Amino acid sequence: MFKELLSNADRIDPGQLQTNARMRFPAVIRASHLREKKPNDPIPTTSESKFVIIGIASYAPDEMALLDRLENAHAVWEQDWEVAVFDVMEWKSSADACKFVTQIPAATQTPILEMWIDGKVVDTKTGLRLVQESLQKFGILS
Amino acid sequence: MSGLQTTLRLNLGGEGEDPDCINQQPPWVDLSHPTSRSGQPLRTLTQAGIPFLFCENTLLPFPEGAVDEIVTNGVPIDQGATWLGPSLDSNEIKRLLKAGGTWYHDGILVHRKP
Repeated sequence: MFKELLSNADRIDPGQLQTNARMRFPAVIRASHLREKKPNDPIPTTSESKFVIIGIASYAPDEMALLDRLENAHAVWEQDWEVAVFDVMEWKSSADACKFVTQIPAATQTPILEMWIDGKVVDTKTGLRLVQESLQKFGILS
Repeated sequence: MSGLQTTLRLNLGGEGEDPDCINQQPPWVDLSHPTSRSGQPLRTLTQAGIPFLFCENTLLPFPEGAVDEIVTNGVPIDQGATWLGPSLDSNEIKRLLKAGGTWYHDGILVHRKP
């Protein structure tokens, strides 16, 4: 469902395709088991809370595919974890990062990941390979 | 002259995933961070002999009509300024292509220059 936003069977201009994907991304989140991370949304700090923040680039098919994998695996994680996602294209500058994540000040690779357990950050990663490995390590992805 | 490369292929934002391309990365890229696709740092890839060109996305140092094929995979096109700097410009991509040159975006042929 996420990666489909970037399918280009009609070979339209890539810039327009990416703009369309960016605009439709929030609606696809709402139709999924993920939630949208909005700027300055509070982070759960209660004990036994498990919260994942993932920032993806809406122009990157591999990162959209990661969200599809997460969505397809929702039965695995939804009892324990809350997964909130956002589009890094919402950042106008690196200063905006702190509105979405607390400990990744200036990522040069996407996706980005911040994991919280019991109100504490337990892991941060950037880049597709490392983010996937972390999600697998915490049992969110198989 | 026979030893010179006769086909010029650029992978803008490339990380070495296409073996026959010169890979362009913007100057702010972190050479020590594992790349998204291979998991290896760019420095490791450059040391392995994979060709990289570091330059601004909007100032690609090639003359007009010099490039046979341009590849872009999972990189922003015509999205204005991102938090890291300007996105790639489709007009600049088209400027670089030779007549008959091609642009593949995420594996799809999206432009062939008349």
